[in-house]
Amino acid sequence: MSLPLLVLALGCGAPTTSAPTVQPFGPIFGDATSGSGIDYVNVCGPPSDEKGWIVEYMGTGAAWLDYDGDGHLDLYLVNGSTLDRADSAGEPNRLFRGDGRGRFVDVTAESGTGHRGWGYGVAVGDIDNDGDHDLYVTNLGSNVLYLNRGDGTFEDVTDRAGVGLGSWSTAAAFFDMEGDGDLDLYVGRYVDFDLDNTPRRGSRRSKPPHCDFRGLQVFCGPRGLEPAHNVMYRNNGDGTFTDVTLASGMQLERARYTLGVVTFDFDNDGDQDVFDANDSVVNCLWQNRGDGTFEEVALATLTALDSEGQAQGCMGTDAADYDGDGWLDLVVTNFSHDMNTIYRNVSGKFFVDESAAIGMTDTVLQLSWGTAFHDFDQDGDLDLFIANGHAYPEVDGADIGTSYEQSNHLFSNDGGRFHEVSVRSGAALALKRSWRGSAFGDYDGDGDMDILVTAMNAPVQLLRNDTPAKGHYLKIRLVGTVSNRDAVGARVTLTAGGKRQIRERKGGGSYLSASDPVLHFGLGPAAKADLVEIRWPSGRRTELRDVAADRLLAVEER
Amino acid sequence: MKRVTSLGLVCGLGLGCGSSDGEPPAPGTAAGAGEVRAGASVEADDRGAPPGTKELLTDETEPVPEHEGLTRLREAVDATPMDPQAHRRLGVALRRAGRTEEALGHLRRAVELAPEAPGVLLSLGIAYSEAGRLDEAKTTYARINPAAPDYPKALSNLGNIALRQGSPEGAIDFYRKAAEADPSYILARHKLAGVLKYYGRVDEAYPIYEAINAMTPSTSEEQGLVVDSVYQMGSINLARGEVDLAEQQLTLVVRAAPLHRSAHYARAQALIVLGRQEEAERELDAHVQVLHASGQGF
Repeated sequence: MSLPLLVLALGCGAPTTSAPTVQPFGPIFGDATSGSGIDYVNVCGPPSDEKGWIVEYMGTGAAWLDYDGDGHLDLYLVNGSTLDRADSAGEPNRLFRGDGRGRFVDVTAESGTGHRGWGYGVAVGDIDNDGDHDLYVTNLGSNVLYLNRGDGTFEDVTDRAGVGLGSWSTAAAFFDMEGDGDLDLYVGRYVDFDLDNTPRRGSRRSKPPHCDFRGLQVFCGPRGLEPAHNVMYRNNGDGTFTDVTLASGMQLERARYTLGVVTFDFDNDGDQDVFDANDSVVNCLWQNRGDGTFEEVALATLTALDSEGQAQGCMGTDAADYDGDGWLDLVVTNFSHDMNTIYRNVSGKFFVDESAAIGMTDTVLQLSWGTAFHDFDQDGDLDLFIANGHAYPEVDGADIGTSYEQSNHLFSNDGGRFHEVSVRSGAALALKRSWRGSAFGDYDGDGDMDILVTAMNAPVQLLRNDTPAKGHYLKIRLVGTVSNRDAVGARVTLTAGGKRQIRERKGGGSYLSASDPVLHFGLGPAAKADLVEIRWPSGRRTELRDVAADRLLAVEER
Repeated sequence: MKRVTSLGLVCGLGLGCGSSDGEPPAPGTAAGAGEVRAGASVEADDRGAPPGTKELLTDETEPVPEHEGLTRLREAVDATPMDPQAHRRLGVALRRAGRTEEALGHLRRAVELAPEAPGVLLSLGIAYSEAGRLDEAKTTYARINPAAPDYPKALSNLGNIALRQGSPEGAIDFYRKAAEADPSYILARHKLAGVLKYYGRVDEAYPIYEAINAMTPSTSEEQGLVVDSVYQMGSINLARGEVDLAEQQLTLVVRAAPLHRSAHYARAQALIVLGRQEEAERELDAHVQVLHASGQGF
């Protein structure tokens, strides 16, 4: 198939004919929080000097979605609680409607999305293929599934759908596990938290869970606490889900502490595989056999451990083809005093830990969480953003080279090697907080990727991409018909200026967060894409030729 | 290669390989049983400690008898209260027993009695360091006479402190000075190379590992460091794409030190790249056993 049957130019200005000069100093971000109307303040336990248990340190996520279908990104912010009111009423989650120009209005009450549990993460997907975005919120306690009615309101369908789960859920991802055209749900979980049996911060113990870090008395766990099993739910297509963890082969003998989840096609066979970033224990890579059953291949593909064969304290993750070889690579963010890990995918057979060789040594002292590869300066390669902030407030004053509040990292891609450029990327990136989740999307509709970052017990930060001289871009919204409507699992290969790039509609990614489902390409000086090839989850293919740049395309599967 | 092979025999005889803290292995400990220790950690929860640097943070310690009971050591202090070495021995034993404040009291007393004795200052510096009082540790180490035999150890421990404080450049400087002060000081060279490698400066690290491999170790700990240096060379060659050479080096290491914390995994990586899948799976299985044995990973 060489022609799309439906290609809509949704327009963000006409394509320019002259090639813009690509900014030589990398991306620039401004702080657009003030005046945006986003008045959310995170609650995750009490202030840092009063915290005592592990549940109070992990932060919350955010999601970019277009809940009302007006073409502008809206923002969903999960909020937590405190132990003294966790069973009654925590801070409500908040939904902000965006106007596409950087202003947001709180629509939590009228949308019915203000769950008051102890929230952590959020996933977005169109579970009933009706064309709007539904929400799944992970909690300490029962999770919540909000079904979008299509009129700006949501219905809590958790019980009917059978996805409440319980215990402590963290990352979640919607993807089509068996290729039947609807979105299934994978839920990562962390600790089977029991306050009555978890010692408080600083308890001196000779047996696990240990409560000290480099001589500091800190919260106890996760090691030594009971891990909670991840769960794979199959969408039954009738508004209900079935727990198929065992049947799909995803039941581990012993659970691992999952904090980050991303679904992506690591072996280029057309289905979605699942990567779990696990804290302090080996990671999991679930290779999809194509029928909705999985084989755990992390050790065999060298993604379970770092290059020295050691488990890391993994938090967030993302997958993308940073080196342009046609295979999706992985980034995993880690605990402090350990660098973040970049696994280069070698032909879908195994991965090589390239972290030290390509620039991650700059991340050793930070504790990192949310992350994603995006082409922030639109020069044709993928840069990398990483949200930082320590888990332990006690590191302040301990003279161990790190601090509770940290600034975030922005790495510019230079031929497959990453250079940390945050110090020259605007004052907004110098702001120090104990950051956690990060979600990525073009909220102001100017064509470039912006970032929303959450922080512990603090306001969020809206980072507006102000890079003054970027390359051209192309944004693509995929609409599945035979495939799931969100087209999760679709792969787009774009050729422009002699360079091929790939993007994939992934599930999950970053830390506890969900990003704009629209795929974004930087084209550098090329004013058009010579070829756009789409491989749909159904196996169908679409080709578009000579697509003008600097616009948003919606492509429907036919 | 020849040296590694011969060391492999030594390690295989159970004389201990790979400990990096310079302390004599106690009977019944992992190192004493011929296992390669994963690197003595300075904290109970070592989550996030960088591979290759956990062991770097372990201070060079004092050659003081470990098994004298605290009661006898106290009696010695009571009998000779003006003897700095008596206070030092008791202080070291208390520190090892986790009784830091009490240890510091005796070690400070030892320094009062012998303000220029390098060994006494070294012990006090170590105690301060373990207590997290890094500035006092640095000040104490700085008082050690550069002509003293313990001076290179003080420099090495200052390198550890620099690393803990987030200054790899400072650590490199101290380790380099320690190695220069005592060219036979294998531990300092190994730490120097370890920091360089971890921070991506593999071209500087590699010749140091080569030099270590050419040295003659005098203790079981140094033998372990020599073996580990061959692992590090293999690891670097693996990253460089010199996979055949890496696999050869790593094969020697897994034979010499079958419980090395990373060698099986590195060899598995090499074998995967070489397409020797079945052998790789065996090495991965071996690595999982190492992880299980150390209580890590799962």
